[in-house]
Amino acid sequence: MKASKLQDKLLLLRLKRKDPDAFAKVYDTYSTPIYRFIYFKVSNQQDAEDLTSEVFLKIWQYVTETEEEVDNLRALIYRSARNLVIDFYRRRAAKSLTSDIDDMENIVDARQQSLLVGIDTTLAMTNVEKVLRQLKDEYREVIILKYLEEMSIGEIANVLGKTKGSVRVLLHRALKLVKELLNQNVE
Amino acid sequence: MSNNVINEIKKLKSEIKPRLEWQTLSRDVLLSQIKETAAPEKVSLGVSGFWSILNQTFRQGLFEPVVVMFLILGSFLMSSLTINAAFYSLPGDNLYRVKLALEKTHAAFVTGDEQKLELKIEYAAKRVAEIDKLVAQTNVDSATKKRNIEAAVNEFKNNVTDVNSHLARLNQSIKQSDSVEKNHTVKMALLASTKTEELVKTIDEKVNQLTVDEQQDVSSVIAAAAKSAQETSISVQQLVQDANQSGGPVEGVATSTESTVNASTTVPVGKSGNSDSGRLDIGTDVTAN
Repeated sequence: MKASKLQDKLLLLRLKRKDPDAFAKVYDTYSTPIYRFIYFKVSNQQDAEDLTSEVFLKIWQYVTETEEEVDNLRALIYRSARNLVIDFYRRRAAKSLTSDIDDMENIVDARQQSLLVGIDTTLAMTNVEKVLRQLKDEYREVIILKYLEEMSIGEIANVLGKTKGSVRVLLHRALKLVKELLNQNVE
Repeated sequence: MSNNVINEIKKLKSEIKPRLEWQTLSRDVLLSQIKETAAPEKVSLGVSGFWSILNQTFRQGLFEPVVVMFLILGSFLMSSLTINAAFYSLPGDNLYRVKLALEKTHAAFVTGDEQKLELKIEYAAKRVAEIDKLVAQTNVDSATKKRNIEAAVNEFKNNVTDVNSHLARLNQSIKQSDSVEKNHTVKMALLASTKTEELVKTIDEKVNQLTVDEQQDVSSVIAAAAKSAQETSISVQQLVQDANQSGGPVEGVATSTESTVNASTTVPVGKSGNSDSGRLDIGTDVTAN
């Protein structure tokens, strides 16, 4: 068993006993990778920061309240991040449908602002990052989890709720597509 | 190319990071938010905490594929060792029953009359080899030795009875056979009879090495085994007669039959005159086991 896994188990047990030091340790260990994971999904630094904070709060609430046995803290945090991003887009879609004219004006302003921010961000992006953002969500997820977060196929399957076989297939297709898109950009 | 792409992706790890001021601020805010629900004192895991981690780790580890593979390999190895150990077991050993069961299973999978008959005689020969080893044993007391020899002779008798039953079945089928097949069956039966008689004679020789008391104790089972061998000879005699009646004399076996039948009346007997008429290679070397 890897030392990091054992450390996760110890942290999980201390979290269950509502230890704030353990929570701080979990935050220190996972805030950067979770931010990175969310950043690729929302493409906005502000949203990525808000959602990352929300993930850790949710984790604290879940672990201290649930009676269910959690066997993988890392997978639990990534699953939680994934679900929060899904909720974030749902909320955003619902809000845009029920908004009034004032809101519409605000949104236009906000969009203009975010467009400007987006232009700056896009300019700062590396070629690979741009390519990753062009991928569909499930392809991007497997690439990030495998090569940035260095998860095993089993762990990725655990996070995504898929079988190991389908993760391998997804990864193969995603990598193939990244290569094609990078070649196109070069040409 | 593939490695280059992966390396490019991995570089993003150092490039995409949250703002340090946000990270610190967010940490403080979160810690203050959880303060109300957090434990008031410092948490200690204690022995029970470490035990629960160990327990969980063991349960997860047990189902890891590598562990499962080792378990399968281990059980396969253990069963192979058991079969191997059973193969060399003797009456009185724990694995002797396993050996007999394996022999029965093997016999059930063999097809063809000749092969089945060969196998049954081979098993009888194995019993003789076992008797040889039991007689030579010096590290057991006399009572155990006698009991084990009796068990081996009884098993030998069962093997010979099996041979008899097989010959009886051949006798039934011989009437419908053509002359070539009939000739082959008769020769096979004669060889079986000869071999059985040889084995009984070998047992007799082996038992002679025992003390007088021990010989007396096992004499009744030896006599029963010898009787079974006589029945084999009678079955063969019947088979040859039926073969002759249904399709004329079977080529080259009349003399042999006579010698076999004559010999069978005085079991234990010497080698019959049929040994030149071809030999079933049945591995009856009594020291081979």
